[in-house]
Amino acid sequence: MEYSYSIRFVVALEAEAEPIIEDYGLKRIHEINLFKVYRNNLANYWLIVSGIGSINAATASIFLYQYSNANKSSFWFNIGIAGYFTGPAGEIFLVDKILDEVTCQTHFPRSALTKKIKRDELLTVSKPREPLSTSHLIDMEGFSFFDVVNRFAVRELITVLKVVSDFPSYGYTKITKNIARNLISNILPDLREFVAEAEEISHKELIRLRNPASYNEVISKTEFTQTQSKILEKLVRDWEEVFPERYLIKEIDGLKKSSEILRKLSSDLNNFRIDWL
Amino acid sequence: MALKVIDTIYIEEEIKEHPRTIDISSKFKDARVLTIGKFGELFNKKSQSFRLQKRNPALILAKKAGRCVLPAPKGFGIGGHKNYYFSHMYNCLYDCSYCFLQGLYASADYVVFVNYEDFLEEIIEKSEENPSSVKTFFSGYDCDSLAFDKITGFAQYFLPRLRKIENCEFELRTKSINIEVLKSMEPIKNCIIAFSLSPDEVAKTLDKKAPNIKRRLDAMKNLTDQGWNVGLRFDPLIYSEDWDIMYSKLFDKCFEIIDNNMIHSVSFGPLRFPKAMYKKIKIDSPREKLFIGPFEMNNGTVAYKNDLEKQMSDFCQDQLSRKIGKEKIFHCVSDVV
Repeated sequence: MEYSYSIRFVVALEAEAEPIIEDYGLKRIHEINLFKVYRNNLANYWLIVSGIGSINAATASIFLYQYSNANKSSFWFNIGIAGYFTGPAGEIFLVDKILDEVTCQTHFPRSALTKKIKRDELLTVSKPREPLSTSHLIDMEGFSFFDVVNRFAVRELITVLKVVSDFPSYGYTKITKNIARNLISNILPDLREFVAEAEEISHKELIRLRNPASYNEVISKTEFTQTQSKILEKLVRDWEEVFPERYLIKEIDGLKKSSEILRKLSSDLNNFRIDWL
Repeated sequence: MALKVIDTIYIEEEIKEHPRTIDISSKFKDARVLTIGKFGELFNKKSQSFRLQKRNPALILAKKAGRCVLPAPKGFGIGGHKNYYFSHMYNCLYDCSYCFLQGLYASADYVVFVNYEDFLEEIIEKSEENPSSVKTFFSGYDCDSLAFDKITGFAQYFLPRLRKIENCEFELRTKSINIEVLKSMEPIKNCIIAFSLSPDEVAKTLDKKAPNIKRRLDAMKNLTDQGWNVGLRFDPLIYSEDWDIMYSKLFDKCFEIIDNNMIHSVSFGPLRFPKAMYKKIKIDSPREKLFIGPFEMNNGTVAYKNDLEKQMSDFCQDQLSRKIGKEKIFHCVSDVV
């Protein structure tokens, strides 16, 4: 079953995940033991609690991609708390540059979301540490999340959001589960706006990428080779685009062979004359 | 077209302090500036979407490394013995459906190379090779020459300097009506301001975000009245129902408005894409009617069927010959990469 948009959340801590789970009405999938995975009834929102650190973030992202049947139109979020060079706690940032302390590699996230909030760089570290005095956010997952997800999603469909939790005069050791939960709860109004735009973008991508409406019906009529299927997909898409008022299934009703169907579609398209008016 | 505000500027470390970098970035006071190593770190990398980036392109300021001036593709020319092109910018403000840039690049961000001096130096070098041969330098191959000019100051820098290179001609290809900078200077005899034109009906649908044909023709008239030489560029030729009537009407309108004596050249060329480029564009814009054809593939190039392409070219040659001397008409058939 296909839904009109597809959203994925990767969150490190359960306390960070709870407000999102509640807000989007997600339910735990109990048969999965490896990670805590949640989804809503329509299965278009999915959330995974990855655990702390790069390896967990990478593994969880791949797991969620596979298990939830994410596709090229899925919009991905990494949301979590982070250290910053200054307070106050609770400020939300869109990350547009991520440096990995271990490998010294850099990524430039390029979210397609247009809502304006503060942006800054994120440094992903391997061990918890006090924030730096320079203008960097610090976390332990952002880099590997982006690095992995960008292998199956274009970077415009990946967003890393961080909420300031600790800063030089307020160290990370003071952050309790309750504090983490509240910090994420407080950004829910912003998050809802981000997600609403992400839904719209994901929906448009889905429409752009999906098979043309009558493709499945046409292909089930007779046997098509792999190559013919590819050609058919293109021809059906073009045909539906230029003859929106005609019903393809009816027009190919008497055709039995795949080659006849392809020939009919090609011929119709060859005879088509675009009128730009 | 009002320039959509740039909200992100990436600047190569090496040219962070370049006066042109400072000048350009100062025009976007609220933009977030990020320092990068080389522009290739983010431009044109895999796993990004040209279409999604086009919603909100960023600006990348970089230094052009390597050769700045390249030989123009074979078949591309307006009468010179040798043809070159140079691109101070990659990508365009407009979003024309037939534009090959969407197939060439994975990124829609605007890259501006700030080292204009290096471009000029290479142009001068080329101009000095075999000085008696006429050379034409084309700008506007990987971008629109004037659309972003208020930001880049490209014309203001280059034109007065190109004026001095008398044995060469320079074409600035554009769809922009941003001609204030040209009007503010004395016309330059060896510069051709060449406007891309399509029939009104086609431009309304396909030339997204670009000024309409009437405004382009008004801008041309304005320039010719002041003494600038202009070029008419009917490239690519777009097929449709009644294409001949539409092009005929367009030619009539152009030659009615623009003084023939001020027309340096008229060129036309077919719509062609290398196969891989066509495939990418088709994936990015699967519902664009333009790409339905009728196309065929020949030697790795997707184009209108041979007989149709010839019919359109012959028609244009014939119609244009009735309007202007044949020596000013050029049929440009070039591969796009």
